[in-house]
Amino acid sequence: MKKWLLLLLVTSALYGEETTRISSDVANYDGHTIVLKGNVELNNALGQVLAERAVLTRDEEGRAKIDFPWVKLTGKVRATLQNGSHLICEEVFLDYLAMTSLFLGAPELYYKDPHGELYATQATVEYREIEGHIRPAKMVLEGNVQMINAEALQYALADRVEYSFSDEVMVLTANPGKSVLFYDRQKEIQLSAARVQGRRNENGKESIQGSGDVRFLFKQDELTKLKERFHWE
Amino acid sequence: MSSMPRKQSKRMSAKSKKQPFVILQTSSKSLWIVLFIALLGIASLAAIGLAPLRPNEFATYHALVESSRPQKESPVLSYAEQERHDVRKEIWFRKEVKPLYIQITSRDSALFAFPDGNKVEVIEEMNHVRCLMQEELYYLLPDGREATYQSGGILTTKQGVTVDPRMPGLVPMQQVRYMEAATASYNYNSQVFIGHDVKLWRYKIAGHTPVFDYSKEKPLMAGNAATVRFSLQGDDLSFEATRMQAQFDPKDGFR
Repeated sequence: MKKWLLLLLVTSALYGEETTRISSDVANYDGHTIVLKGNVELNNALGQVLAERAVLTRDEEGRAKIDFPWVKLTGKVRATLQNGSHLICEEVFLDYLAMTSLFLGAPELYYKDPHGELYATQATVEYREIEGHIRPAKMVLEGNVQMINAEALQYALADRVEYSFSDEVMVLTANPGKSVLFYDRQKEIQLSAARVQGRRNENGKESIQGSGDVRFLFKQDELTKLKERFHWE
Repeated sequence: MSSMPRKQSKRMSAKSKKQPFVILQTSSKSLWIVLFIALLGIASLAAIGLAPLRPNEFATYHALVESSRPQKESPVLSYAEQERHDVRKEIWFRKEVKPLYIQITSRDSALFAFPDGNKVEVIEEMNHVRCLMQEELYYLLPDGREATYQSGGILTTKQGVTVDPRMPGLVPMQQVRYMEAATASYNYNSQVFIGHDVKLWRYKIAGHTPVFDYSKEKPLMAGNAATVRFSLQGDDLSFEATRMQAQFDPKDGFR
């Protein structure tokens, strides 16, 4: 499950622990904000982000360690990382002061790396500064969350996914009256529950637990839903 | 007259002798003449109103008027040019309490003055240009907040908290924009500066006095652009750049 969460690296790239380079066709600066338009490109050691437009807002109060701690990227935002992963969404909001980043899809964001794919309406990542480095602390995916681990043939549908990087615990939840659907086709594990928790234990093995109304066999409509979402035969 | 009684005619003759300023007694023939002239005038006016001049008649009229005027002189292209070397422009920009300093230097330049309509346009073309611009003068508080002078001479933080200028530990700071351009032009009428093939840097350095050597300062931003354009009119120091590439470095203490 952790393989799905390489999304965090994208946001580190956007924050720019290292020097950040930005280019665009046109740049306007009025003393408070920098507006970049046309072929906006943001690069640093971790990767590259492309967008149609970016707005960088200056920290007038001198609270942040970056001169422009608020960055908004809009218009077909695409991030490519050195490890080969990709993120596509419509808008990204980076708040270095609050140490958060928000990704919005239109209608959904898409993330892919060599291990799997992920869809959601939006994603929020919270960070902490640890020994001078920005590190992700928590990530929340919301809205029609679909997770695919093609390597392990694992699939999940949920309304919300929350992951804690310190604990390495992932929690999938569904809206009231609905269920989280987790399916491991390789091991033939079917799990339908209001809440599903995945954790990596001390041995390095992953354990999955369901809570609430738990079933280990999908209903026909649940199986149909999975087939339609993931295009199975 | 012959039909009038004799007494009456005698009386009238006597009257005319006594009163020389008698109203002219017109004959009926004269009256008809006057009436005819009046009617002729009225008819003329009516004709003008009822039958306006046709466009070709206006054209003919104007052509006649133009032909009677003396010929205008053909416009002559004229301009003045002046070469300059080691030019330095210094501008103090009034903003709130403390003025901001702008300096533009060029190794060579050519000043052109040419008529443009009713005014004279003056443009200076420059080579090897350097531009130093103070964007903001502020104070750094001991807790890291920044304070600037507002209208009325009051020193406040960006959150609006008033600061006593005599507060110990206040560090004067300036935010500076520095540019180098291969070529540039400055329009004295519009006060617009356009640089070409530009390198630019932004600094935050101590003090309010203009600084001219940045070799030991670490820039917050370094970049280059195909063109940079800004205006010195009003109190807006915003600028626009095309095909810009910029590098942002974290402040000291953060890796």
